[in-house]
Amino acid sequence: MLKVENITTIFKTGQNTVTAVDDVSFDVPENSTIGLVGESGSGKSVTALSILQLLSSNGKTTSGKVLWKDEDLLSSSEKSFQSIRGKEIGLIFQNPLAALNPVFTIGNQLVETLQLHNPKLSKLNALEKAEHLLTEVNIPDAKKRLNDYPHQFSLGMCQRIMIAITIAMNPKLLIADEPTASLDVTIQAQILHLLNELKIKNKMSILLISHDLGVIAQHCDHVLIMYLGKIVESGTPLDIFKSPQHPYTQALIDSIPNPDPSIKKEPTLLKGDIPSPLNIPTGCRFHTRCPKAFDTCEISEPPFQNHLKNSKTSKVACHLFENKPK
Amino acid sequence: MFGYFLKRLFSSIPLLIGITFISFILINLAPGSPLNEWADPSLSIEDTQKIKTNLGLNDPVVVQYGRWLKNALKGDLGRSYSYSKPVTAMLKERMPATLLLSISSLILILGITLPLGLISGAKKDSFFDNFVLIFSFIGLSIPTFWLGLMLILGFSLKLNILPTSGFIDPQLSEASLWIQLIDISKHLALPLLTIVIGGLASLTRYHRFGIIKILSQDYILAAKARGISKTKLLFIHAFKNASIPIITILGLSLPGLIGGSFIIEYIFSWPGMGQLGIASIFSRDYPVIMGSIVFSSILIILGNLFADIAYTYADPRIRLK
Repeated sequence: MLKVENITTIFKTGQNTVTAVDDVSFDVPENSTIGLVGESGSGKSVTALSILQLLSSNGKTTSGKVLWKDEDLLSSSEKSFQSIRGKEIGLIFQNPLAALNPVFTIGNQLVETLQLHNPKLSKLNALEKAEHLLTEVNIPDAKKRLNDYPHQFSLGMCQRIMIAITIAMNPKLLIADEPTASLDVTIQAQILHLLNELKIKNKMSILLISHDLGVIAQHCDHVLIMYLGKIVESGTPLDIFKSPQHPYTQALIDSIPNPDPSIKKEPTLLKGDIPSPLNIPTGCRFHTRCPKAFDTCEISEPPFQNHLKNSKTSKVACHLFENKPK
Repeated sequence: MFGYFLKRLFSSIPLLIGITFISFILINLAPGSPLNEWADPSLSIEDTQKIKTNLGLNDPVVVQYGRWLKNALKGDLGRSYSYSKPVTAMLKERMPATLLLSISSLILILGITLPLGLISGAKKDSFFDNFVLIFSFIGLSIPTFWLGLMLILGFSLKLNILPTSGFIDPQLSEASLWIQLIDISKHLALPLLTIVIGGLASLTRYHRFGIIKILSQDYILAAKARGISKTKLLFIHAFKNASIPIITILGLSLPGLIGGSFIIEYIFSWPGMGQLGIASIFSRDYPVIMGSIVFSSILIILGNLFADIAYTYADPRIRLK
């Protein structure tokens, strides 16, 4: 349904050009949940914004294709893009309170979206639909609460309202950019459960962006691991979590805390921080922090290939597997 | 909301009393005496003292203030020393001209500033934005009184298309209302232009900054992600948010607008409160000074009250329960 092919997105900051997303490709098939994982600054959010072309004015997707139902979005006009945004592809954000306009009521924002993509809808019918949507995302007393402003809701409720606004037009793809990062764990579980329910009910796909591996493992059909603008490993959750291949993926999985106090494990700590995208290391961009790096890593970029014997879905970009193709 | 309005109105009474008390003391501390202006210099010292005693000027300042306040609460602001007319009548005479000037300049400033700031903010760093920036700085740097004089020099003396001063041509007192209105507008043009140029710059900058800040918010991005067009984003989503700081700044700049027009009125001999106020300060006409202060204080208090109320309408987060 959505095919992202070799997109590269750059940002111009003064004299410098930062490559935030570098030659990224992936597919989102119908009725699936794809997880995109990485540290802050790895380019996850920029990938999402590149798909919908919502980059800030200094950002630009310089190459590649974003195929939506076989039509390249990157070459479509702003006008036809407007009818895809919200109607066919929805986007929800990390901080739901910031993503709702503080000076308009919830009802107002819902009705606006509904009428935007369906100009024939009367105000009254739109209000009815809005109430129905709020009930669908479990906001109690929906009719009354349509007149409330975002600040009158809790964060978890705001995220549910944001979901209601985003699914108002039954989009076929929902891009969820860290939808639960700012919420309490119990609320997180509720929101993810709701997203899953809606996915099945509305027959939509979800591109779930998160740094929370637990969330990804539970909800995704396919996982992409991103590091400094590139996808370094991809596979099913089983591939990724049972037999992680890339040293970065291994370190990520190793750093998941275990809630059992009797098991005390020392995670393999990665050296330093993620390098600045202004100054991307040569060769494999992970070699500066990689515990298993050797000479070749510094010189040449590893190809992104399948190396795992018992899985066709897994792909990894690492020189460690270079000499032992399957 | 009405209860809040009444509460605010009542709480401004002590404020008003405080303002008048301090002003009264300051006026009396200033050197000079009302008699210097109009009393015959050949009067004997005894006679001047008698006049002063009659006017109550020899009493302690606090007693004088108490007397003024007592009468003021009854609606009597005293009589002008210089003109022997009741102050309230004089203020009433002058009020329309001042209100005409301040309200029309306020409308014009808002009418120009809001679209200008909006477009500048939306097209940040464009040619248009830089153009507005340069003019804003010029507008900010020019002292208003100098600008007023330059406009008189240009439009009245050199081009001879607008009158130098006054409110209406006295010869037109018999003319039809329509002709009178045209003449008043001609007289209004230069003082209005002076105030507007001075007031435009800072508000445009504030509004531009507000728009830029709001356009970078998540909710604008989220609205865009729902397919809302750029125009709608700017004029509906961003505009209402950006109007909140504008209301605050307007409320704060009201004293400046009213006080600023005092000087403008003086330069253009605009027969408003400001001109009266400044003339009364020079002649130490205490009752008239006090009257002008009471009037402008009430105007400022009301302005701020309306700003606060407008604020609660624009921003639901501070809406009163």
